[in-house]
Amino acid sequence: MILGYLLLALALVATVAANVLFTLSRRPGKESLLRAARGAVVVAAAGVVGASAYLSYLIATHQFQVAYVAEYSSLRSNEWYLFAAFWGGQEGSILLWAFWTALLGVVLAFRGGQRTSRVWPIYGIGLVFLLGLLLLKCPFAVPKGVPVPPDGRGLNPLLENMWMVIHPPILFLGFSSLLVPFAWAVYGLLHRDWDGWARAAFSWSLFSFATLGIGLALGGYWAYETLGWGGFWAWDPVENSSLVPWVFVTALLHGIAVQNKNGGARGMNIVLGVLPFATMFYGTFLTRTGLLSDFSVHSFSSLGQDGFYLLLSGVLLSLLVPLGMLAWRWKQIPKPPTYERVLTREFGYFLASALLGLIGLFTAVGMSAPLFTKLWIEKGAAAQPEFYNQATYPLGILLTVGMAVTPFLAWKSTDVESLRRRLLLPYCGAILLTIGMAGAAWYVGLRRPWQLLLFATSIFAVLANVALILPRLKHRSSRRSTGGFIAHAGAGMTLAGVACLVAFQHSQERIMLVRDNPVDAMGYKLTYLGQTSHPFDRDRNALRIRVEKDGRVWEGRPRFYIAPFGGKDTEFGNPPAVLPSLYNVRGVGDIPKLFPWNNPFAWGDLYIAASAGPQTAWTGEDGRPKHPNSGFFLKDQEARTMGDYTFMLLSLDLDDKAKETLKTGNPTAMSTLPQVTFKAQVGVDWKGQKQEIVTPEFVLDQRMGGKFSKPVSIPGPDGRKVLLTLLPPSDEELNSTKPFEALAFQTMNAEDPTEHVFVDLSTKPLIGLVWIGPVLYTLGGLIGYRRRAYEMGLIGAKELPLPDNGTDGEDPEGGEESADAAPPAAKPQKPAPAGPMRPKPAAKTATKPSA
Amino acid sequence: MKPAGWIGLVIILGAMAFSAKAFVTNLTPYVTFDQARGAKTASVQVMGSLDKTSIKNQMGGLKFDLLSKEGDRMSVVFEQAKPANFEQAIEVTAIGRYDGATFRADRLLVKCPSKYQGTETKEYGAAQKA
Repeated sequence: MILGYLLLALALVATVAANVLFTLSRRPGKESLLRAARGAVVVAAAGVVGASAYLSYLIATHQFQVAYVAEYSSLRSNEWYLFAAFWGGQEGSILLWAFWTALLGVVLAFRGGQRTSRVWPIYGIGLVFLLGLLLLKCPFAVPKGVPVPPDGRGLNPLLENMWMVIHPPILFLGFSSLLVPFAWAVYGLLHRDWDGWARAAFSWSLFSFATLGIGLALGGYWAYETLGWGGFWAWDPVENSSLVPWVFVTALLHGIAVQNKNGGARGMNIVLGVLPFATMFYGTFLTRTGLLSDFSVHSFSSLGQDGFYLLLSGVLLSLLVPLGMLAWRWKQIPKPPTYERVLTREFGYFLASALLGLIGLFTAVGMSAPLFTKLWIEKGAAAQPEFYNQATYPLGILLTVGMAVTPFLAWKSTDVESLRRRLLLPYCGAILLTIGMAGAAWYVGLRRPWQLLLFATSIFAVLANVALILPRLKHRSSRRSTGGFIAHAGAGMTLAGVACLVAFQHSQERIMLVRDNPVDAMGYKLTYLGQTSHPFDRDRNALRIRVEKDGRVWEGRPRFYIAPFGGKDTEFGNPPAVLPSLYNVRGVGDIPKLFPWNNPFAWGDLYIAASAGPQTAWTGEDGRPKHPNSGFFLKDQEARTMGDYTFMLLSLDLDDKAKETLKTGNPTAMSTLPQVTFKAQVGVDWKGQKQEIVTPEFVLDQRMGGKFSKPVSIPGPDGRKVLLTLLPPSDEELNSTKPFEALAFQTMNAEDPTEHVFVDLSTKPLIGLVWIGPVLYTLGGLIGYRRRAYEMGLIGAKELPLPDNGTDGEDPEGGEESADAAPPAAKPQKPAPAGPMRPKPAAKTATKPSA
Repeated sequence: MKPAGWIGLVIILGAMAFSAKAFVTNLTPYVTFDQARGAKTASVQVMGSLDKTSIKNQMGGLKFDLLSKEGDRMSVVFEQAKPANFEQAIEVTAIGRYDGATFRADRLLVKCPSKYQGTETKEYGAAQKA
């Protein structure tokens, strides 16, 4: 749609204009242009926000002539999934990326301090790139010569859950924020402002750390909750391409902490400032150009050749140009005297940066394996998850040791004696407790030395940091400085949780459950009770599994999806997919999980995944039921053959009272009736042998507050019965004045004694630790962000003075960045006092060696 | 060099060596069906189109046949949960090893004509049940 293109083009032009204006404003006497430049930034952001609003509008109003809308939303989607359809596909997610990038650009333009006019153009180049990509792969494209589909395809049912609404915006906020530290690093390199950039980028990298970190954790939780394979991290290229930038940005935090303290690690920090954004671009390139499509889970569809080259040039530009220039200028970086002692905080931080950098490097190498192994293996080879586990495991152990030890070490300048006196007691306490807990873990069965070691060092990290947090909670001012400790405690918790999970989880696969026959598995008694009739959600269904242990009873409901892909009309002749999904029992129907002493699942989950939907003894040779075991739609007077059956919808009838009410012509009057009954008359033919007319019903009951189906039985093989259910329509359809276009039905076995399902059962002990960890490190990151942002004033109050060697414009290697060529605004600045920055570990990472 | 530098260097070099070894031992090359039959011990990955009439999901696991472009047939056994959307798969990549009669897959990558992202691949298999 043309308006969308126009808004994006406006944003592109405004960004370029902002770049030019910022650059011009650096000339003496032209400072007034700064206002205009900021105005242009706002216009660019308005363009992108407008385009986003327009896309939302197109989706909400079902403009199916737009390919993107038809692809990712449908008339059946509820408002949340219509909202989520925005980023359901490739184009929309790029728009989401541009959306946050443009908004953060506004923040940078107004809060960048006196360096804004130098740093923003670099940021602007990134934004131009993104907008260019977006115009190439545009969500507003209207295919030519294709009839407008009556309904869209909608999101995959596996994606239709809350996480699809929450996860992508947070993750992309994290992605977008990486461009800011990148721009600062390139700025620092370009203008030889070796310390100023790092100070300015500190709070931003904390922000990236927190947002990207929680985005990653949410992705893991989502996978755990909906995919059903039982884990949360699979080292898939798509996962890795968000992990690598996060690990690098975490390394950057620690590097900047060192640099702010004593001016060390300047060169390394430039590299670490460039890498998060560059590797994210690289990851995007790998996963979105189809390069890894034979090696990855969810590889995105190809961006096409133009997109390929645009992304490739982006990768090269963002990686090679800054790094090449750094090599060129390496000798110009002022080097402070290096640290001499091992037991200093500087060294601990430096080591943390190095270890995190290695984790990032190894992961990046692993995910690139399919490309570079083609050098010696004909079709390439993929690195298996074990590679990542093995390569990062020792680094994880070293990191946790560092997290426990480093905060207790002194910066060179601190008074060692007083520190020792203050911290000796809590530290010894932490060590003793760690030994105690590791002993307990050993006692209950954590015997493998490496697992025990990771567990012990992680617990040590948790306890040591808790020991540091507690005394700081007393005063408001000291509470602000707990961010790093909280983050480290969280990281330790996640790793301890992973160690426990790997050591203690048990699973039993393919447990066959015949209806109503209890089966003992792993100390639980499982009984398959049948399926939920699920009147509220026509796309989903669940198996009812009763779980008994120690005289208490729960019911777990592993879902499986009956997916009428393609909406009401199309693609529905095939037997629809039954997608197994997982379920974890959460004390359904008995004791809330809140009371751990009552609930065996409180310390972990019991994870039940349906590995195959209901089958019966008369399942066909191909493993599929001989009758259609799922849903289908029928239009009035339409016949449809499904398996051995032919169905025909003869009529749809309402009860008399409802009919009268309907005649009044007031659609809302219907909802005032206490009860409304819908009856469908369906002709059923089974293999041409038996014919019957049946009338399945559903009832809307105001008092009961729900919709209830009354299935009918129809003839099946071997004299058995099959249930035909009329599925209630959605609220949306009910409240609409339009007549029903088609009715949804579902068939399933009627109490067939041979009906059986297969489930996979596993325990996930202490998995709660894995989830609490990310919450804590995100919280820690945000506390740190707030503190740094405050310290920096984000208004430029405590900035370092601009370097006086800023002879910009003499950098032939600046590439595109040569737009920056202009003499500096020669404002002599008084050296601002380098604020008394309390040392504080920023935030460390947790790798998840296993799931 | 100062002691701190030495310690850092040793850790970094040690980690590099360790990861290089892990990398080499955990590579699974893409191979043809014939090569997979030959490499009986090593973990490899094979790809083929799914013969939908061959799918059996029963007690012993999910069994199906893959067809290579050349028409070669490989039967595959996967003992974990049947992947979502499996019946609609066009191509399947199986990662595992050939045991003399069938290909025993530890993991599957299932490529479906997807609603989500054009062609979508999904991975199944508890890859790192340690």
